[in-house]
Amino acid sequence: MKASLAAIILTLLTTFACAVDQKGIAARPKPTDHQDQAAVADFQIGASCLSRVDVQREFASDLNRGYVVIEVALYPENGKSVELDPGQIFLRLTEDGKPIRAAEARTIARSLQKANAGDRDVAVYPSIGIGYGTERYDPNTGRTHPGGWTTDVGVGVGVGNGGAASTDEDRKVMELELTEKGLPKGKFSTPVSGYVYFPAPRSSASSLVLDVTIAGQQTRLTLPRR
Amino acid sequence: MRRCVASFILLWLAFSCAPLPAQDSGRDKDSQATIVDRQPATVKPESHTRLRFGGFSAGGHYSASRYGYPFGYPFGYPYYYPFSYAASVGWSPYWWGYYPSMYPAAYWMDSSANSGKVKIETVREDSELLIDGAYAGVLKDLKTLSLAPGAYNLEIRVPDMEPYQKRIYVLTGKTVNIAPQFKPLPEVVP
Repeated sequence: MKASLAAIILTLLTTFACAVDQKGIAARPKPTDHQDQAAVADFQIGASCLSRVDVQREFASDLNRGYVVIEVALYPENGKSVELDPGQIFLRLTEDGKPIRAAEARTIARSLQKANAGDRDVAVYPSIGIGYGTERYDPNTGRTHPGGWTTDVGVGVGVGNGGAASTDEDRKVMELELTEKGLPKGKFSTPVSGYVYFPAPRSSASSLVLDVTIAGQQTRLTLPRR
Repeated sequence: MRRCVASFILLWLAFSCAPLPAQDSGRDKDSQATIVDRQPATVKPESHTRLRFGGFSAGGHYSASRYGYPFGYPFGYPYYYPFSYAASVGWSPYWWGYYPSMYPAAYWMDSSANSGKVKIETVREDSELLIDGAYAGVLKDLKTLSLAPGAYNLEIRVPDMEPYQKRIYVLTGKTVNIAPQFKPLPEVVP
């Protein structure tokens, strides 16, 4: 009995220790601070599409390699709580395009690590040399070489495999970052915000469409692409 | 001589100033039509080639010898007359001095292994840096840090200002740039 109780406690402790806390990010003060917003029954929702520069500034993980990052914020009305599930948010590249499901942090981290491992690092080392020599006699040939200035220029090139952020440790860090900054799942009565990652490369589409279903209410947001 | 110097400067400028070629732009055009139904499992980011300026070295040499080196004789040949002088200087972003200037790559290979960099823009040099709650030193000495991959809670304390706090994620071979913004402490009304 005691042994099984201890095993249960140990399992629970291990589970809690291993679970990554999904915090999200600080919500912007108002829904109108976002690119687009909508008011639905008990809550308001706002969303913004991050530009490449924003992604580079906000994330250590290189999400510009095939992902669109959307910041989503939910603002429940006073005293009301709303159930939020990032799995119910879909992206469309056009109004009638096929819906794209949000990618999980683990999947993205694995994909980025694999891509980074295939990168090549090329380092270039230019060099310059200046010399001066006086007249020299070469006893081997019996000739005298005149002195004077000599110059040389060279370039060394080093090529290495395996780019940055390609180790298993990096994958864990990327997964942690994406999870911590991701839109949390659960029931909220205060404003909550976070990023949702969609596997779609940058395209020439001028705007994106976000279909959100929260508490059975479906809403559509249009986000200008930056 | 002038041509050599000019070509060296041009080479240096080209490699140090030119932005790295981004390969994403090409991919966007051809994959736009088929991307709509891609699912997370099918995403395969392309590999990149990163070109970087590793450093440069400049050397000078003077020799005054009737039976001169260098004419193909091994070091210590009877005709060798050791009246010569050579000097060389080098610079590399990955080279901090333990290795001779002619081998900057040696340090680069060592230093880039299993660590990332954190560069902190210094506002005041007497600022104190704390990593995960532990005192790490004064910012004057820690403008660039090398840290193992991981997530860290950074705190920068400046006298009379609110502490700046940031959670950072360090990845191997990458640099995190931090430009802290400080707010003055709220005035305490007695």
